[in-house]
Amino acid sequence: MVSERTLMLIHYLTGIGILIAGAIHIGTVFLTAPVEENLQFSNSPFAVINVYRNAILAASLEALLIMVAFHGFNGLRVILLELHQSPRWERAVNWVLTVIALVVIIYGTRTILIAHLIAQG
Amino acid sequence: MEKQGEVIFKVFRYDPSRDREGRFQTYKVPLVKGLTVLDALIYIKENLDPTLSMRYSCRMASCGSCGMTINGLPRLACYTQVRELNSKVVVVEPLANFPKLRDLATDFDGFFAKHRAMKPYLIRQDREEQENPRDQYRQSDEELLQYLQFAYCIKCGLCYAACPVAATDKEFPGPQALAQLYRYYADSRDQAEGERLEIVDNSHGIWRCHFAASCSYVCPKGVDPALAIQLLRKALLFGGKR
Repeated sequence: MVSERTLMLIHYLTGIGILIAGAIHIGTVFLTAPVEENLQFSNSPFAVINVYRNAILAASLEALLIMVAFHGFNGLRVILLELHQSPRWERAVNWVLTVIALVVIIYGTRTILIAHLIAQG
Repeated sequence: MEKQGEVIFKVFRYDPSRDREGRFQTYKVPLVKGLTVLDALIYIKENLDPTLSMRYSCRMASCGSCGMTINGLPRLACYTQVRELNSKVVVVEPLANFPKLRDLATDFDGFFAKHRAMKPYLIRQDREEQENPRDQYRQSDEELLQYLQFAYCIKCGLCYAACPVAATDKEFPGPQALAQLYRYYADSRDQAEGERLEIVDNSHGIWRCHFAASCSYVCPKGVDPALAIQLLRKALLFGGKR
């Protein structure tokens, strides 16, 4: 059983990680080329899939997926624990949200892997 | 005392033997210089309605008995001048987040139980010393300043009434208890830092604070419970005594 201290430490670290990832993303969109050009790039599905060719980029998207899933579902857990208090409710919330988070991470990982393999040709 | 007009008091009334819900009753109180909300409530009880129930004692912001919601904010009635409210109507209600007993009196049993759960006393590792201390414990000025402001707490419950987390999570210890935990944690004479931190490192403990800081805003004694909570979190995350 992971302690609340550890969960919240990861929560804070993933929050900072998401913030940094968001800053890098916005910086990339606005600073690497004229915005219109970057938006056109995003609108092209082949170009997007091409991003996954680079293993480091694909891995960073995987890391972002895990960070967002953990941070989001842990935040939801905190909200639900504050709304109602009982050991049974707490157990149910913990289990249900852990399973949903894992499903989201597994499905997202599958998508990233497929995109990476397609991009590799 | 020279009368300077009248103030309308809308006072929350609730009798559990009769009412399912509370209601407001209006009284007119003569305004005199220096009139506090507690003075006005005592005037109502002595002259207009002897059935009004409230809790008070020292009348000088020392005992923490007369906490109530005055014009929407938790305040001490004895410490709140009617003039400073700058309003012709003063609305007085019981403290939020506390079970209502009758009229303005609320039940503090749960609040004090949370306070007691923090072990608000010095703990020494030597059991014999704990029960029969042989000597005084010396402390420098710097060591005293580590916790002094938190020792000013009078357990009036205003911070607990203002806390948005205490409103929804009934197991959350609340700012008063957490500030008291830090008060003993930071005391150089105490030897139970690990034991104290364990008390609040759980799913309804210190991590549930959202740092609204309303506790620190309403404290009539200048205690900063929000700071204590952040310092406790720092101790839990990064370790290190004081």
